[in-house]
Amino acid sequence: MSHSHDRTISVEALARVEGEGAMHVEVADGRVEQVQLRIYEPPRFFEAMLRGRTYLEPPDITARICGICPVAYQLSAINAIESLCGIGTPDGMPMPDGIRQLRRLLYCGEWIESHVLHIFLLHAPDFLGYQGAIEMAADHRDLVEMALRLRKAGNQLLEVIGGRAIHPINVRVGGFHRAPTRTELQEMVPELLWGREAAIAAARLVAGVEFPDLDQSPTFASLRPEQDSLPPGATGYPIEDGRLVTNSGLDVPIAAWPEHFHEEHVEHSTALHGRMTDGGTYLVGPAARFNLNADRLPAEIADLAAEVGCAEAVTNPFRSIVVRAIETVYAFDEALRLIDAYDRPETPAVEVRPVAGTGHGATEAPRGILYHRYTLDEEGLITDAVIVPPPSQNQPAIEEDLLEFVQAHLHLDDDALQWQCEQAIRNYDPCISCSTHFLDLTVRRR
Amino acid sequence: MCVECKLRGNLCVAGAHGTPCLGPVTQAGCNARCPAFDRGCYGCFGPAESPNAASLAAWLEEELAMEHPDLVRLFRSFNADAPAFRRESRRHEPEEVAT
Repeated sequence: MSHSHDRTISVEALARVEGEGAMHVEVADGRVEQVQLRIYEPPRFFEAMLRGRTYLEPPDITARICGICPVAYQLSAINAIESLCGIGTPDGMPMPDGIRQLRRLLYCGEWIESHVLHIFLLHAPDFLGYQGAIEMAADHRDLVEMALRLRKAGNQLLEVIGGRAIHPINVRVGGFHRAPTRTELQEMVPELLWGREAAIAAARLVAGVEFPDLDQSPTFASLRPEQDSLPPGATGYPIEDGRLVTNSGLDVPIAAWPEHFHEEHVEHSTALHGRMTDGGTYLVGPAARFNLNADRLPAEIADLAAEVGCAEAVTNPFRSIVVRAIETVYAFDEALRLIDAYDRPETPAVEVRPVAGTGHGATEAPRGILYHRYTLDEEGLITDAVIVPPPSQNQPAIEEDLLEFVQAHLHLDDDALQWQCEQAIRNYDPCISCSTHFLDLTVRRR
Repeated sequence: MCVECKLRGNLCVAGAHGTPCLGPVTQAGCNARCPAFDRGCYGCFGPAESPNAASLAAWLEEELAMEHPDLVRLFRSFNADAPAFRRESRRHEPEEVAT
């Protein structure tokens, strides 16, 4: 498919990323002219499929966009619809604490299973020098077994609260279909305590690998909960809500998204490209969250972050694996705190009546901000839906990153360059869907 | 899927709570997850063998007063094009759309 140029580096299928994508690099006179991340998966038309459905259906339908982060889709959709319908808004009906706790707890389970998947099964083989997790398991059986057990602990949260680890069925607009009892949650505590300790060990382990040099200062964007919205005992690291903030000073409610961010179509990708309104690129994800919210970590985890080399802002994308590990520790810690504080709601859901208009919602998916917007008519039917997932927002920034990275590594031979480029892409955990085979690389240079 | 609710000891959400449920026409295998969480089955495993979707739709219409657009949406989700569900969703659409 790729056009032949005199000097092209063409990675036809990226391995160990969720999905099918390719990388294409053009070099002229020893200078990298262009880097394209080509997403060739066919478009999936979810936004069109949502038109004509009722305001209660997006959690079930949008969950299917991703098997790794379905909760992100469910809760971003719910935030958008509930904010429109006056639930949990400053002048609207308050959302009971128990439901808020369950949502965050469910989301902790998703962060755990998603982060552990990426740290150990997709990303660690790069640093330890293996083609994949299977090959890595031959020499590091204990590590892979620990990773699988950690994932299982996250999945257990999804099953107990969500009713299913992949595409949970218990999540609805207004709350849940059934609220678990305190006892059901308490039963998970021993495994979560183990998980927190194992995750701390994992953070120390991944911090000890060798990281290639790369220093960047992109615009980072993440959510950040308002200080006075935090329940007692919560430190407020962003997961299931917050205002939209950047390191360039933006601090606005989610409803202001369209004024500051937009998506555009580019020829080489079926995924849209997210940009800021001024045309600049920006990054979402663990590094962005951490850099903008490190002050929101509990003291013990902040100390751990400092110990594993994240005392200050993380500007080397290769170190994102360490940030994921820190966030995994936080997710276990937060899950334990939430179970301890859990106050089973009297009714599992509050009643939500449709309101005509447009609602905006966002949450922090494991890979960064996930924004949803729905327009409803008087009957509560969806007339328009917009979903902006993290990877499309990151795509232009990844391309910029790679351009600089390839330029600095042109002296490498083909195999080494391919290996490093793929690794650079995997820093961002781009979620396109699921691919396991290795890639073909062709390099043509004068 | 109804048999799995019986095996699991679930209360019938359709009969007892009046919650629309596709359990009677849906392939078993999930251990009746949705009714166990007090919600109706949305048919994600697809139609069962020889489902009587028309009979279920008539019951939903008569007993739960479900309206045609809601019946269309109920049968037209993750298995919209499975013949039994496709046929049933089309039966409840206005004719000019159904053709």
